Amino acid sequence: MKKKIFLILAVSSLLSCEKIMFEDEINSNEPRVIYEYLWKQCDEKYSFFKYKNVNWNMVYETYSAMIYNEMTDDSLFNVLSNMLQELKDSHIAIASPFNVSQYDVRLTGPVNIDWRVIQENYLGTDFYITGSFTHDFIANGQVGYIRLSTFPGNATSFEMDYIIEKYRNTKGIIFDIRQNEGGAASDIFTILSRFTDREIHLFDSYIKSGPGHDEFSAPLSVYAKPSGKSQFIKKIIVLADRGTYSAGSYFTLSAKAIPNMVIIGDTTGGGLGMPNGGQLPNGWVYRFPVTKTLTPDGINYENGIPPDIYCILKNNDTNSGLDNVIERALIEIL
Amino acid sequence: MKYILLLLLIFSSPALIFGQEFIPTKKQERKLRPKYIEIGIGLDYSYFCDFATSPLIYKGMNLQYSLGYLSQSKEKESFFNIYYSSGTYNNIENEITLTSHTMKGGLTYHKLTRIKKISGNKWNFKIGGMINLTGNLRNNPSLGNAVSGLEFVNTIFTSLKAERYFERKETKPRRYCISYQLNLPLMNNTFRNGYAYVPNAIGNDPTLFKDYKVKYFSGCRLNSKLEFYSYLHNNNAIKISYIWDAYKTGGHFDKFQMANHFVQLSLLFKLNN
Repeated sequence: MKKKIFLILAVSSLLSCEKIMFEDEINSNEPRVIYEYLWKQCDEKYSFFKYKNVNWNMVYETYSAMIYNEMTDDSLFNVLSNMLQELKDSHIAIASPFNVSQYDVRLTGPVNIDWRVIQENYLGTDFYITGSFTHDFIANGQVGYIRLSTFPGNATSFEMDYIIEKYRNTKGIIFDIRQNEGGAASDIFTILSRFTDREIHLFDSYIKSGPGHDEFSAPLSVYAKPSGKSQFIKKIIVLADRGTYSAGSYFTLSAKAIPNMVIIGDTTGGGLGMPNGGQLPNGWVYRFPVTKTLTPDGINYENGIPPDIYCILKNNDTNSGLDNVIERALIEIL
Repeated sequence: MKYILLLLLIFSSPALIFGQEFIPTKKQERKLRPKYIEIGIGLDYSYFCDFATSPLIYKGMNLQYSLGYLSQSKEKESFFNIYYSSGTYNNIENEITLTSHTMKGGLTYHKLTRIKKISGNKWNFKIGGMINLTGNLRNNPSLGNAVSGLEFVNTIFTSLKAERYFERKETKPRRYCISYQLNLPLMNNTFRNGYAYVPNAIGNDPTLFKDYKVKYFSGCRLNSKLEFYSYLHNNNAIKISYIWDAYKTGGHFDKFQMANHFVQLSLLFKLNN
């Protein structure tokens, strides 16, 4: 009898035991709960408070005052969005079923490219499209022009070998990543492996390792390593502007470390922190960077990599069919 | 006379020998112990919360498959089992449905011995240990770079089992057994995403398990099984199980917790006679 009682008690006690073990989910539509949750997640994991000189506690006080129980989802979204935009980071976003917020760094500088001008006056109609690369000879065959408008993550060795072979006998290459908002970082290394004939230390990446604003892991050192059939180690001009962001900025940062690469154009948009992803207590999703990137010398270019030669597209020139940024690059090569 | 007595003794000795109870050696006992291959299929209702990416619970019900080897008698028992389940787990909040595509699997091994002091003809009690290795791979495309969550939880348990055998006396008698096994953790270890959750993956080197952390004696886990066996006339058996397995990782930040409820039907094919 005692055994039966023991067994019944044991079985019944365990039916709800997981609730005792587990922490409660935070499932709430209350604006205050959602606000506190998002602010805390950022506080513990965002990687650029110190660099951007943002007093996150003061931001809390400012936007907390705008939170009240009866506010609509629309109003709450605007408060959360405005709070995150204090960080001025295009890698930060919050998405609801009715709206997506984002800080657009492209608007902080001029659009430094007019593709129509390039097509009509430099490439013509018979240009090549190899994977994601649009390219052809310019300047009477003396220079190779390669346009990459995004980093889709599918650049192949075959494509790079073809391109390098095609422009092998030119005096230089113009690699145009103006208004390239980024994508998959893997393409960076596939491309750079053809632009250097030796291993080069490009940058160091640090990831958040704790809730303190200064808590980061040991650096992950990133290198360009030569690979493929051949390398092009003559002059390579990288064209960039404020719309060159994320993987585009990583590529530009890498160009700073490679001796035969020169950056012409405008300061990039930055975006050298990899974003995470998460969900709020009401189901909305968010993201913000949790890594930071430094040059081998310890410089942080999160606000943008400055060009070696500053050059902004001039409307007078484009009206005349000239891309003065490409023209400046040609001077550098020829 | 003494020779007659001696002869009687010699002829009767086989009777003495054959009349004695046969006590098998350990090796013989192991050989005689019923052994089964077990093939099971069932429903896995589980829910989890990965506080590193979301404060919300994801729930799902999917099919689970298992394959096992059981060696079982009233005296001793050992069981090795592998199981697998995959499917979707959803969170639905305010017209937003986020889905995690999850693959789960694991293996368990337990070894039990009869507690003679408290066991009897009807009730049989066993004690021993169990090891359970579990892995989950979760993909939630809505979470950007935090799309993948991977955790391995391995636990060493101490196990207590109560069995009740009974027979149905008919023209063809049938044997049944109902048992309850409670597994209490001795050591729980976890391997899962690090603090930032996403890997520091900007480099060109492999990033699998980058920044993942191992933690020993971390978290908590409980496990129990309620099983009903029906032994068939051909010595095979059918088993219906309800298995409960709940665990959570430890540490100060961003825990992962999961509760699994498996209802399973298994066919046991006897290997020895």
